[in-house]
Amino acid sequence: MLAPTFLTGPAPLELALAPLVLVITACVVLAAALFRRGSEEERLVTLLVALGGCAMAFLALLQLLDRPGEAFAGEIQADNFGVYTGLLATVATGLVLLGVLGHTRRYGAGWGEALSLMLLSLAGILLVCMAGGLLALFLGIEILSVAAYGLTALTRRRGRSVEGALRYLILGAMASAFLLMGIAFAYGATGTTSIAALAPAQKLAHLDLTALELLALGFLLVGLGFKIGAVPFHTWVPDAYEGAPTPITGFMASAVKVAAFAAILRLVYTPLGTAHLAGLQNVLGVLAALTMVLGNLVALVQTNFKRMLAYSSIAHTGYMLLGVISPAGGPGAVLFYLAAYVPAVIGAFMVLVIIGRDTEDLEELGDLRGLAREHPALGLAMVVFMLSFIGVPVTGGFTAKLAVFSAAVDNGYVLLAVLGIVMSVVSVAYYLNVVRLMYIPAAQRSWYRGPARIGERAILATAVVVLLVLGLVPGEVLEGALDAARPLELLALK
Amino acid sequence: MIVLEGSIPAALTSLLSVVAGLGAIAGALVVVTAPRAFRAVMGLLITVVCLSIEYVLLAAPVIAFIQILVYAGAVVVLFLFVVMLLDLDGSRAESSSRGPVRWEWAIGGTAAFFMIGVCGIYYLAKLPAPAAPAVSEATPDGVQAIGVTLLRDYLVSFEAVAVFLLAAAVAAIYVAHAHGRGEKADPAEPDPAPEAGAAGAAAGKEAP
Amino acid sequence: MSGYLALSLALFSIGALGVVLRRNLLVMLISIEVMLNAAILALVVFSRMYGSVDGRVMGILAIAVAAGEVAVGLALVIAFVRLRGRPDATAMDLLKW
Repeated sequence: MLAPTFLTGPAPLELALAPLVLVITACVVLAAALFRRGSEEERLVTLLVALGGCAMAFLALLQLLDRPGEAFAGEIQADNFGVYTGLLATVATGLVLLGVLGHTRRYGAGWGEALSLMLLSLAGILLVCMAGGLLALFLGIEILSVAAYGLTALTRRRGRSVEGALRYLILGAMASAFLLMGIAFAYGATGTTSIAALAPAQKLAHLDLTALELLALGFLLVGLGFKIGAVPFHTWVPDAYEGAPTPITGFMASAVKVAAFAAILRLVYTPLGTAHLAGLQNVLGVLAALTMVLGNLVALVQTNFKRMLAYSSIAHTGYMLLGVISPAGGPGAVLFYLAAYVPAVIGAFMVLVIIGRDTEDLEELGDLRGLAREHPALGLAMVVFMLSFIGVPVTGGFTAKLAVFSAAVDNGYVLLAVLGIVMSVVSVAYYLNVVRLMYIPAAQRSWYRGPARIGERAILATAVVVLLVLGLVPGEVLEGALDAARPLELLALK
Repeated sequence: MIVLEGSIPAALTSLLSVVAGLGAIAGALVVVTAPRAFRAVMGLLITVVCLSIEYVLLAAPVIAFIQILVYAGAVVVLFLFVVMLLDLDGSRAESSSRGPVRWEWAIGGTAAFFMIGVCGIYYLAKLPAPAAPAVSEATPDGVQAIGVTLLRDYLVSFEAVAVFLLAAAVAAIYVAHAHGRGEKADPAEPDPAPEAGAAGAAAGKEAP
Repeated sequence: MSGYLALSLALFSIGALGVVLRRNLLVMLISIEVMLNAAILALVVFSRMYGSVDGRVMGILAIAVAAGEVAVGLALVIAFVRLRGRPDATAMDLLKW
């Protein structure tokens, strides 16, 4: 029984290689950071090691593309869905690391800890993406959360950082308790802990365990609602995003979000979830509507750029939830949406990091005044990111929104799709406000000194190019995303 | 104590389970209503000990032992340590401006939550009787079964817990550590005890 | 069996209530521990119901997770008290929407 899978599919260790590489790299970074602590060499060397770890994890994942396999008693499930989301999260982390290359001086204390926590968090994210068992999924979420709490409190002398981390931790730990309760009841309702086999009451067909199933799904929904930041459970998002150092915010808005959506898609599209699909769709549909409306409206009145992007990220969670509830084509559209959202959000936060690199942390909207006149390239990049957030044609955001909304219409959610389009129009106001601020003349001020560093150019150029490619020739990536999510859809449409 | 079935009358065990259950709920209510953090910790201790009695009654003595070791031994002590640390630091620990929860709030809210639970339980009336465990956990074979399952079916999770504890230890030590190099000390605050970081790490290491 | 499940749900509700209503950060963390304990009890109950070891193994690992989470939580509370002087959620006033 073992031999055929061993011969045809990837070897067990190969499936777990990417997270393993990341954990080892994290340990190396922790150890290396002990030498010449606080020096520029230490920071540069550990950063390069971390980037190398990300690159190796990327290659290890790439090996698994189109070679599905499972190992370790089914706890690791490397299907294309897991590999695709894993690759996205790895690239996002790599981009964030690349973005701080060249101005490591500002992040003096806790450099080694920050890097190792980020790598461990990414390992947790990969575990979530490729989890085949409920417990592995839960532990992956726990690893990434606990590392994210530490990362949010990175500037431990800053009140806002610690405060944001505490609020994040209390709500996050509560969400973990809900998740664990949901997992316990899912185990109780089905007698199994494997996600693929999570079918209602196999063993005890003569007994009615519907109540257990409903309780399980309810607890899981609340827990996952916290983790993705859907509306009644969203309050930690702006606090954590504002409190964390800006590069970390970029990491949380991209890689961590990918993991949260991978988890919710995996759990909704199980036999247990699809048995109650109509109920889940109703609840999640209401959540999606609330999330879109509240996220966009509150973003309108923000004066802090990071907080505005936090509420905008809540709004995008709402759009993506539309895809989650649309079995035909929806999950694939969500994957594509994530691929188009990640470069834009990292790019936007990185512009903030770059302009503040030689001074202090800049995060007010007013800090962007006149930016595009002094630094045209930076301004142009930011314009592309904002247009992609809005969903203007030619950018990836347009294709992504088109995919999600058309999936929603295909599944009969015409009203929700219309609401999404209306809310996208509302969002034009605050996204274009950023553009307006950048282009109005302002008293000369210098955001940063010296020429743009190689890492900065690389990351912004990459983000812009990816967004344009996804907007102009989305064919292959969209097909890939739809194909990767097809097994999930089949489960629901059966 | 371990070999409950048969040796002790069933009535006695069910009585014990009811008493322990009520004790656990009482402990939890103490946690929620305690005016001082110290009393809340004691409430947690009551809940933890009562729950470990329930675990023994549920034929899971191994998890009962781990519960006592980790919760009563590490988590409660860690909480007490922090309560003392903050309390010694000028008796500021209890200055909660909103004060403790009022009893009527606690009772009303719990009743509301509980009603939902009971409605669920109403459907659960037909819950199957406990299946006889394939191997009784009380025997060495039972412990072995747990070990084998842990390291065969849940190997990835087992390793993931190790990674989780590493991340938790790094985060806890870093956050609670008083002064890092290249970081300005906050003049407004006295130098806090460095043991806090060590305690956080200790909890992380003791857990498995 | 239902009795144990009711106990688990009751403990979970009381814990959730504590997190929502209390403002003392330490008490909020302790309430989260009560919630996690309720979840572990549910795991053990279902493990007994099915006569399989899986639930108990998950419970053991969940206990380890709960302990790690509380360590980070307490570290953050200490850092917070160092900055603000008291472990009180009402002292969290730097961030507002």
